[in-house]
Amino acid sequence: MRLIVNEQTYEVDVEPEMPLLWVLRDALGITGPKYGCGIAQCGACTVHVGGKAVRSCAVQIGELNGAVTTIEGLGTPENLHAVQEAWIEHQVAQCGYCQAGQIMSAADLLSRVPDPSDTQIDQAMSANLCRCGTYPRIRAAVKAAAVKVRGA
Amino acid sequence: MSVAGKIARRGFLLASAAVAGGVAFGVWAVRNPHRNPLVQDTGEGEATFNPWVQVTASGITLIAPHAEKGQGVFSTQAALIAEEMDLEWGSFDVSFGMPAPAYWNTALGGAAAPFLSRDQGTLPTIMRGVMTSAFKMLGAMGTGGSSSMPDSFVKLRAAGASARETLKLAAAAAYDVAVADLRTANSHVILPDGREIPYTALAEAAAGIAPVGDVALRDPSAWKLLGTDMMRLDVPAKSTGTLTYGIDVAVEGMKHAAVRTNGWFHEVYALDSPNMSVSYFWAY
Repeated sequence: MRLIVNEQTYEVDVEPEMPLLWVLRDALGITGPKYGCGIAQCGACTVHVGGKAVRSCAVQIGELNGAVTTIEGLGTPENLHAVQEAWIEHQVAQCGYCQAGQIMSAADLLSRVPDPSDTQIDQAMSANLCRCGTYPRIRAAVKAAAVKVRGA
Repeated sequence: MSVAGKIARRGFLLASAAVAGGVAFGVWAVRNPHRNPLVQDTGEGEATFNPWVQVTASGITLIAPHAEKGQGVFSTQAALIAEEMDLEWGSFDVSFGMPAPAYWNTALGGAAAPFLSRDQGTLPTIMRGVMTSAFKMLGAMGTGGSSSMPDSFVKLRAAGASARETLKLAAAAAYDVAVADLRTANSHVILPDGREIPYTALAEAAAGIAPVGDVALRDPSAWKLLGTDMMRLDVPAKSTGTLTYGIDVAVEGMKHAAVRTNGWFHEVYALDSPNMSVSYFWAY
């Protein structure tokens, strides 16, 4: 089976029912997306498929219909995406386990809604859970990222 | 003099209480520090002054043995060392280190004694001493019970201060100046003529010097880092998917397993496969 992750093509020999998250983490060693609940309820595994945020734990690899971008493909420590920049400036992460998913959801939101209201932010981000409770900083960072994205 | 003859009254009390409480160990062993585990990873020309600081020609590594769980202690431990050592914030590596008795938790034992923290009576005081000694004897590392800062607050600053003073000694010898005329700032020793010598350039010289002990700690009014807002050191890694969590560690020959269920609330009593046997667990 062939898939594109972070602009690189991979060939994997796995069953078509295997969740995308497992392919990324276990077959390809791309560990930025995290396993949280396994049933699309927490958002820790969020990646982009064809530019849209999806829960990779609930996407079967056989049904994959686009190129995958993970947190590693969004930006690197040396070349940060605007959302990651804002995340660092606002010191959002505490334990950080959910943050790859949070950032991928936020990047998807800003690609569709360049200037989101609080309500739009809450709606887009409410399905990404954070046990540390970083929500106020997430909202502030999304707004700061929106300014960066619009300015870019 | 015999070991027994050296027993101070306080130590004797501790040992007696320990025996009464069912734990017996020598006073000498309780007092003797654990050895520095960094020594085995420190090569020729590289210096380690204590279990928390290693300086080589290529960089400075601080050991932060308390587990980072989002409470920020990875950065705070580094800040305690950096404060006394005059390190430029972020200009060093931080490592969790390796499991070693030297990193025993000095605060958790006292907290584990079954008394309210405000009870400063004789028995609670003795029991806290006994529990603390037991943690030391066991070399018990641990993160929990809000013990990271009580454990680290003095000893990590002392570790930084000792490293700083030892590096100054090395610079004094190398440049033939009096230690009293040296200052430190931004990971450098500053000579009387203003020249700034990076700590890393002094690693080799410092490696041959016995670390300076019992350095007086700075008054909080002189702190530059502690008590201020700091950028946490692990936030960039946590924002780019580049931090290695426990779940991300791959071990040679490791298998990934998951339970296949039929989606109906039920119990599993036994599971046997060639590789795995589980006697009882819930699944739903």
